[in-house]
Amino acid sequence: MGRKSKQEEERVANRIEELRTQAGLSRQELADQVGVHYQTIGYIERGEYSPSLVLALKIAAVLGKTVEQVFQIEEDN
Amino acid sequence: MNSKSLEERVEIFGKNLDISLRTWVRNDRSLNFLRTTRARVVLSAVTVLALYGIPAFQMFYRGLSIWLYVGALVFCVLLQKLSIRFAFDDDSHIDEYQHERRNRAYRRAYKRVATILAIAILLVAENGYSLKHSLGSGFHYSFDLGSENWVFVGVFVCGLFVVQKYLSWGIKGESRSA
Repeated sequence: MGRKSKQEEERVANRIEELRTQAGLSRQELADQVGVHYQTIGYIERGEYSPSLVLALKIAAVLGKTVEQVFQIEEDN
Repeated sequence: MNSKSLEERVEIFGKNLDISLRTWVRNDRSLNFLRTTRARVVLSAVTVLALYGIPAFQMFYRGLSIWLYVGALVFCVLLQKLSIRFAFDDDSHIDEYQHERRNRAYRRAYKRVATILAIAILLVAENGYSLKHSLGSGFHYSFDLGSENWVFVGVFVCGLFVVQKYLSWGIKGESRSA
């Protein structure tokens, strides 16, 4: 539906699910710690939503990683 | 010694009750069945049917109560509010994803309302012009609606504005896993 924006073409891939599982956290627990709804964590994990810089930093901090270790830009060709 | 007057205590009680009720409705998982994609599809279809179907039926067949229309719209809006966790009502309880989705819904709603109103005005103008000049085109509907149907038109316009943001929210629902 409609043209894709530049932001949509450059998807942000992430390792949140993998790192969250390693840390033994549920989506709800991670969401509570960063102050968002657990559904939002699901949307970010599936790449359906790119978080703000503040939220990305908070998630990385809870998972004990740097932002670059959690998020990477994945460009469509 | 408690120096608060009865009015102040009633006001505080009312505010707390309102906050508790909204928090419960927003977070309680027993209402999650209203938040799935399937539920949102059904809810959107029912809302569209109520918004456009009831006045369309009334225009051509007459005899419906205005309160049926008002009640149907209020019921749909209430279910829509529950379905999206009151995202349009209170800024303080929504996170950045809901905030972005809400803003997108407002933009879409504005475009849709503007388009619907523009089409409606053009159709009425074209109909009036073709009736006056006997051009044979147009849908030739007499707009001698009578007071009863003008009330339907008024409620329809109000409903169009109120409901559009909920329809523009989209049909994508929440996943079940936490």
